[in-house]
Amino acid sequence: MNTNESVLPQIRTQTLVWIGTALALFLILALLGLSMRLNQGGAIWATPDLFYAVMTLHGLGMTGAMFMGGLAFVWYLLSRYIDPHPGLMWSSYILIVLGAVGLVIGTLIGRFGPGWYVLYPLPFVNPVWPAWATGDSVISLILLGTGWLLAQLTLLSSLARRYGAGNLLGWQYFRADHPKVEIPPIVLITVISLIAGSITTVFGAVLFLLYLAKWFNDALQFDALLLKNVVFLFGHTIVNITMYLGVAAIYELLPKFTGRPWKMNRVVSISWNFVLLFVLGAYFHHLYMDYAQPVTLQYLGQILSYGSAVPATVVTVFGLGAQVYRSGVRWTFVPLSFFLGITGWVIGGFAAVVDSTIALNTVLHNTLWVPAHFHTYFLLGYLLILLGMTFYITGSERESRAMTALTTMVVGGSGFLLMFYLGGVDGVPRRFADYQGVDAQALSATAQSLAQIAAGFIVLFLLGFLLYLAALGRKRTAAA
Amino acid sequence: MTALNAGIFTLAGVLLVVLIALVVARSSQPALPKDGVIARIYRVRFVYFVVLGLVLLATLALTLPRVPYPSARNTVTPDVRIAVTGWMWTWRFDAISGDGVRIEPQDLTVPAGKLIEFAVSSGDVNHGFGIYDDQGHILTQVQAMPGYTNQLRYRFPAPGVYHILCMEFCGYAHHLMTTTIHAE
Repeated sequence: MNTNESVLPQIRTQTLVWIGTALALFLILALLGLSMRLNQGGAIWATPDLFYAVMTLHGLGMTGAMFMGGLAFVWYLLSRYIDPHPGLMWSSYILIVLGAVGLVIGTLIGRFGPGWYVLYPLPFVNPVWPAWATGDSVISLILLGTGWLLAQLTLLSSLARRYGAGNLLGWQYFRADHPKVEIPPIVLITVISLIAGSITTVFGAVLFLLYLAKWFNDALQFDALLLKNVVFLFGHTIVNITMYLGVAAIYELLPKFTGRPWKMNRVVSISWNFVLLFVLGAYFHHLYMDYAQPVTLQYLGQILSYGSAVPATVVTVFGLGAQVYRSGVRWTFVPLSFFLGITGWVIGGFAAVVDSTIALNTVLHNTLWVPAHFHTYFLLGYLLILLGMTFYITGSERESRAMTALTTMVVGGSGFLLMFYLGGVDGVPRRFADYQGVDAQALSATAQSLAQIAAGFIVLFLLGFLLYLAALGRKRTAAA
Repeated sequence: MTALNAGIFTLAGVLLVVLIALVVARSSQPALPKDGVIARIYRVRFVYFVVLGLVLLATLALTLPRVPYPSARNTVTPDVRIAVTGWMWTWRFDAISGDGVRIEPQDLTVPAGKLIEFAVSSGDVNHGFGIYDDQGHILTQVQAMPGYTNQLRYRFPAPGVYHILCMEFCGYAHHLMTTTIHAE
């Protein structure tokens, strides 16, 4: 059942421009990812500066593209409740595109290659890229951050105008299941996500402004531990809230397929307020191997990381179960992609909780286990939700083709991810341009084999993705 | 705790999740009115919440005491202390105290079975000091951060060749930043 009719055409157009841009970027960046695995497998050879520049663009680009898609489809679904200023959203889009173009120039042409997390002081010490590439890339990141912040604040301010700022966190549900001002779950989850996102985007902007200052005056010195905390507060949050935006869409849209409402109540409100706490504190788990980090923060990192499993599974996953169980839902593309997306999220979360155990992190940190878990979150978690949303928004009807595409992507994606997990178990380090210089011959051989097999599975996944793109849009009727 | 433990545990978890997902997906038919169904699900949810809470608390209790941080260690004095400095793209070793240490360009020899304390830092950017055995199994690691010193304690289990790989991306030759430790 397609109930897009209530959405204004201009909103539909604008959100589809955002989503189309995100999916186009995804395809290009996925091809760059394929080239990385091929290089690691020894099938092609790129100079290290090119490999690491591609790696930097892939990480930053995917993060930004997926976040952009999430902002767009949440905005689409929220448009029945709020009316964010279209000019502000277009301004945000332009800033994001300018930033993305600048980043492509800085990385692929300038060979700016410090990795997505631009960990201080790497961008400034013995770089193999020209100084202009650093300045270009840092300014591009500032533009991106400004665009993201503008979109987040525009949505938040629209929600505050509609419901009153004091009602947005759902605290009114702590006392009563039907308070005076009710908010749907999508509003609460979006607010939690964008509050966390706005705060940490500001931290990211401060970081990049410091980098810009240092680019002008190299004599400036900053504390490496402090800046590592800042960059991971920003990066960890933005990827997690992207996933939450996908979850928010499911709370709103899945009921249309199951015929059951997914309501706000005290448990949902309390749960998602805890998520705000967990998502801001769990980033400490990225610094476990920095023994200089205060030990209290290390312990907090594990406790908060473990804690985040509680609201995710107790409320969202069980809520999904309550939606599905004996609902009579027909497993068409949209509900199935949502269901599989949540399944992928849980699997990625399981691997994340394992890695967030300090005692295990000593053997998993910066091995392929890390890209294994976050690619699970994104590729077979969030992306499936984005594809489901896009299918819904475009009013697509080619169910058979879409299902074949979905099956192909799940098989290809699973194989690709399995190679990462096996690499993690084998201790294969991440972010290596190639493994031919590794003296431990068994490790070198394993790493290359896994990369070669992964590349094959990526090709399969991408074939499925192209088939999915061919499934979008309405069928032409004979009369037309 | 080894990476293999983590892998086996994760595999079990993944299989469980997939099985539950299949069961739940198939449970959509036949359709029933939601009122009786929801109450049943909430009862299961409460049990799951309690069990999950207990499992997480137990896991925290079992694993948090096993952290590698200096403040969490007992007061055993290491047998050997070695300063390690990461530079783009090489490792430099300097003996601080203890017997049985030999340092040559790109090679370090240490006594097997003794408690070694590596005082790890960096002269330029962040690096990662990762210790592997000759079969390529990662044994332990610590970050090398400019301006800070991280003390990693490790006891090489047997004589032989061990490899150091850089575990923190550090630029152009990050993947070539390796060295060898011989335990005798």
